[in-house]
Amino acid sequence: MSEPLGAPEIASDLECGAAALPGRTAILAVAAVGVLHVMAIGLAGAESGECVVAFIAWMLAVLTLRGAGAGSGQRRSWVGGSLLLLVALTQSARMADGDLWFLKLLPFLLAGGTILALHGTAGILRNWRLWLVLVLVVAPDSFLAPILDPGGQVTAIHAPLAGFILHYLGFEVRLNGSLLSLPDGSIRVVEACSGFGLMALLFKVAIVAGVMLPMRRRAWLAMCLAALGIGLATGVIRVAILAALVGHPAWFYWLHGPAGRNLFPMLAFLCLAPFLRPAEGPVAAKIRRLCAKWSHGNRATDWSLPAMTPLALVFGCGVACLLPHRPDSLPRPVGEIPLAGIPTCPCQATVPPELQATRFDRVDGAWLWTADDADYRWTILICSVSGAQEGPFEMLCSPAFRDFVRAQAAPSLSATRAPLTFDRANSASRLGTIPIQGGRLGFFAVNGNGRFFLETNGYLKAKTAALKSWRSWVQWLVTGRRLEDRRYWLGVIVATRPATNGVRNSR
Amino acid sequence: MNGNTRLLPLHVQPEPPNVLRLAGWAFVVGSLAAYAYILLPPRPMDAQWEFVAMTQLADNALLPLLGIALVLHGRIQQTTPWELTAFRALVVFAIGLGLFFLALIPLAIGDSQRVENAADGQLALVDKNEAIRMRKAETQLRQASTLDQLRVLGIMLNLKPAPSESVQSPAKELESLRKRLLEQIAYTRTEQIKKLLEQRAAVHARVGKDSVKIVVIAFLACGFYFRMGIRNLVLFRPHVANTPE
Repeated sequence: MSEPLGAPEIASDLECGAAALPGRTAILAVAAVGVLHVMAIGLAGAESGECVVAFIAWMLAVLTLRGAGAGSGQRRSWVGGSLLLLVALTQSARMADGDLWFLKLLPFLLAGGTILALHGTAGILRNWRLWLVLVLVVAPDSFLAPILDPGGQVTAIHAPLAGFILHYLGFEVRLNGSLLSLPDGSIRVVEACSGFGLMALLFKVAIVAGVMLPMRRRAWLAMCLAALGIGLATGVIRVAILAALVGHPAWFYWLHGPAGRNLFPMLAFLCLAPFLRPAEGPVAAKIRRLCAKWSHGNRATDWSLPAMTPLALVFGCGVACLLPHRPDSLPRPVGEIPLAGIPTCPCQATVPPELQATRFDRVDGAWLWTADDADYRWTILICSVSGAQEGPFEMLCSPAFRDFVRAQAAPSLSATRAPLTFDRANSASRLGTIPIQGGRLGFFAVNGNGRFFLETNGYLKAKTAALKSWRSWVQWLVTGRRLEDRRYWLGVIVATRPATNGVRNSR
Repeated sequence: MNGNTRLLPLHVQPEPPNVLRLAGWAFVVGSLAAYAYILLPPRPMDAQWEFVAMTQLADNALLPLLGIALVLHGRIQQTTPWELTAFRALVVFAIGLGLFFLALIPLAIGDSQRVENAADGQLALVDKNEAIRMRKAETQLRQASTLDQLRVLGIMLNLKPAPSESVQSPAKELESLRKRLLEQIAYTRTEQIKKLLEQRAAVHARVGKDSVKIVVIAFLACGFYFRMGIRNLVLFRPHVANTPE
């Protein structure tokens, strides 16, 4: 029989009366900084899966710190820890663009300040597991890629497996590389859409559980393998469902958007929960007693029940948050936007209904400018949208927006001559301009704070701007309303060569 | 009995090798090799390959069952830990095979439709090409103005018209030959259609019989494997290895 991985001595003095009060203080403090950290990454645009991993890590940290002992009693440590916490909190309130590094550093500062204040410098080394777990939580998935997906096979296998599932279910599907073609349409499974991110998340949870809880090696190994299998299966099933729904745009975008990105990780976490089987130890005994207390004395025979409870709560909260984004709850298209009262608008554009029903809650307006110079006719189209359900690049790439641009900003370009494509993988398009037949086309996206961004990284940076002020946090906590960080200005600039008829235009 | 032979008490004598069990292992390994030969290299989403592979799997469906039954038959209580692990693996293998054959049933039904549709498509393509060829030949025959042209066309199109019964004038001979050649084309076309319909019926009959065979054998195999696996789940009890018979 192998030895437990996690050390059971971490809660050796659980019942110690002298440590009771500082222990509770430590629990409350760590729980508070954990809530702050999860809130911070949630507001900064982290996926629900990342939030769940952080939540689990902090929950395990609370369990671990239950036995961390009494405070050191050193006033200097208390002052130092408090200062560290103060710096972390004030700096988090002043975060600006490009401060993603601080978001990664934040949990270390919060945990370090708390431990230093409550347990002194000795606690820093004693809680090495907490540091290890925080490193795992903060580490990007790309660090795990050489271990979990060294040759990219895991990513590449999603399309064939999803295709086979559809073939098995009777769909007429054809596979060409990573392109799945069905009669209603095709989808290409790119790396970001595969289940590797979910596999990495679940693997992190398994590692965290092995480090923080007294699990036996066999159970821990089983949990790690289950994490990889469940992650792969969930990713493949998600791709298969998306491919099956390619002919139903509302459902497709609903599952491809935040709803799917939150729903599938939640289901995967629920599937992984029964594999969490720590060995007997003080922490296990304490939680078993707690579980028996919750169940009014009924025998709690398995660890999966207490493990399932918080995950089920998280799943329920996630589902509740997703309900307003159901496809049938999207607002009805309102047709033409009245722009008569805007004097600076040279020309108003008619917004097609299908553009509003797919990816935005509302299209506030569309403006069109046209100007000629010596060589080109410049057409500038700006579209203001609110309640965007996806990032600006996904919106720019939507067929509805592309057709809108073709109809409004480039009516002279026929569909066959000018394929208006917005390819996020194309390096030229990242610079905001791509060549098209008959001219050049540029596009941009600006968020509600006036920040200009063109890259995915810039999109994330813009979202961290929501953490700039404590007022936003207070607004979110008090009113429960989301910050106005999902308002975008989508713009397209089309430069075409006008028909000169032998006459050269002049300025 | 010579002096070299030691007479040991019965309860400490080494057991002779169980021939049935050895034969069972041979069956299991042999069937695994057969399955690998059938399934490798895999071509998933290719309905034709899947259907042929499923037909061959159905032919070999009960071979592992025989091996598993022979291995697990008889005394399985007094075993070494290695043997017990092997028996447990065999039980898991039996249940896995049951699930595998259960999963084959909907795939066989779906693939039979796909194979029939593909065969129909191929026959329809052949029919279309033949129809075009015949129409073209008819046009050429109607446009021919001399006997020599008609005879050359007849040779080129591999047509053998019935011989004329009497000697006629050249004009009548021309029309008579044209008529006979056109009749020959119509007859050939009718024969082609009849042949294609027979081929279609043969393909449908073969696919139908194969699909019924796959479904029935898969259903039976699924039941047998599940029964075999579930009956021997007792091997997973912790006290089995040390329990005397």
